[in-house]
Amino acid sequence: MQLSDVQSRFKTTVLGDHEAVGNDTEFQSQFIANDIDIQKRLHYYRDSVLEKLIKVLTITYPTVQILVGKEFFAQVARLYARQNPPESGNLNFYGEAFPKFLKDMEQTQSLSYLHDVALYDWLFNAAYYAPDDQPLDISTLDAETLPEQVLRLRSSAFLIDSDFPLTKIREFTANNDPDAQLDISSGGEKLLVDRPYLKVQVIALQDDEFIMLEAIQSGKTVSEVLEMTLNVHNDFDFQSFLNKFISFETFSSVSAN
Amino acid sequence: MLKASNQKPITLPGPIHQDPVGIGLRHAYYEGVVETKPKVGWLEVHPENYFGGGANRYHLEKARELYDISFHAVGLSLGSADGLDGNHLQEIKDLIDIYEPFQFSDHASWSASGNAHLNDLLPLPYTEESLNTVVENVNRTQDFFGRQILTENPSSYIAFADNDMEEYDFMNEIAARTGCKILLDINNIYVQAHNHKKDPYEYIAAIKPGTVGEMHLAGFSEFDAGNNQTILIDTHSNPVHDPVWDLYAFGISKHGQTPTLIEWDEELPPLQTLVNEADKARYLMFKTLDIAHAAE
Repeated sequence: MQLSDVQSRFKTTVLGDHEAVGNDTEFQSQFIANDIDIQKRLHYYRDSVLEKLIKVLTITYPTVQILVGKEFFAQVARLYARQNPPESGNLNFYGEAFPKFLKDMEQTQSLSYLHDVALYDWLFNAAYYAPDDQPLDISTLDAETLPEQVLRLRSSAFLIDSDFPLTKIREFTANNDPDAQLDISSGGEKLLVDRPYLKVQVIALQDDEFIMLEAIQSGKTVSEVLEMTLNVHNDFDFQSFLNKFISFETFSSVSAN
Repeated sequence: MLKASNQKPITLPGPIHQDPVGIGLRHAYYEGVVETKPKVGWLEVHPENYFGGGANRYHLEKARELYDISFHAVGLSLGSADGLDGNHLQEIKDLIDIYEPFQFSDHASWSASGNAHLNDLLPLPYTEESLNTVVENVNRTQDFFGRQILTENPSSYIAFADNDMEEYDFMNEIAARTGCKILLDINNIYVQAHNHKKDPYEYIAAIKPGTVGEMHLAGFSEFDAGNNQTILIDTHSNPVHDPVWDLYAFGISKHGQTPTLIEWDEELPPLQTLVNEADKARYLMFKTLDIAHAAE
């Protein structure tokens, strides 16, 4: 058996059903039992691979794990890992599709908030490991040319718009207080998750601020994003917006379109 | 003898440290290491943990100001028949340029097949085809980094029926054909010897003199495998076991003073426990080599 075939079938064994490890008898004939069942030997590798990936997902999705319980989370994470193995050796960004995976699962249909909670967890992870870049140098801003220029958000800046109170949910799970109560229907949030330096921060956004930042993120010029926002909020104050998010170090650069 | 496929110059690893024993720098130890500056020779990190940006790099930078660093990669997949991931190589090279590690190593195993990177140290059949694959991938890595690397012998829990050679021959050949050094993981030798009913002393004695550039020590876990058998798993979650210390002393007697790492990756103990293990390794190394003053 060629090496590429050995590795492909090893991969299939590791990611396949628990019970199916013994099915590929031709593959099993490649190994020596040496007094220990070959299926058992293969299971050590299967467990090692999957447990490592479950651990990564557990670290990335702490709020989800608390909400659904450790046991169910481990089952779902195992299934996810088998169906969505990493495509690279960079595990810092493994699990991006997990929120959608949760949303599509039959068992989680009653937990309407779970997708957004998972996405919020993911954004913390994405901001934490985002490439380091510098905040906008305000000396590069020119009031005359700014309208036709494009502002760019920092690599660590992410936006989320949810019908659920995500910050309260994450705080609720992190506090681990058995007497605490959480009203899941207490209102949605629009949030900016970013990491100006070392620590991830969350900024609650007004609707007009969210529209602005979302449009900026899409690459539109300042005059275009301003027009979009003013169409919805005719009292929007661009100067205050600019001052606020420059002070939060949300932008990385400004340049011609 | 150094050999690079495109004849680019290869730099030798740094000199052996006066204190040759290092410990693994893990997230839980970031602050403790910088604040207490433990008496160890160097720190080891997995470069993959520093892909991207953020706080981890900040802490690595602080530690690097105090210690030499070795990069011990776990994700190059040197044994993949599909070849190496150019992005992974580039990300590591960028980190090498920033942190200037004195050693770079990865394993004689594989992780990636097709579109899946399983992020584990999976076993290779010891055949000429596997050897050619690892040699090609090690050569590409050394060429890309412009430096000599070390290749580590893996732990294994299963053996292939059509092996053409012993694992130690496989490791010797990788070193001979690429000019890389061997990272001799003493715990892995003990684990694979137990799991495949081999002689770990024969393994160490068979490794060619002058090829070993680093040794690793770690703790394994033992599991009931049925049929009155046990299997050892390289969990890195325990102190180094006594038979592994004995094997280490034998390794030092055969291969001389060698940079040695205490590895501990799961169920992390207090930092001082690692430092104590490092003290033990240093004492045993110098005692074996009869370096009296250092073993006091």
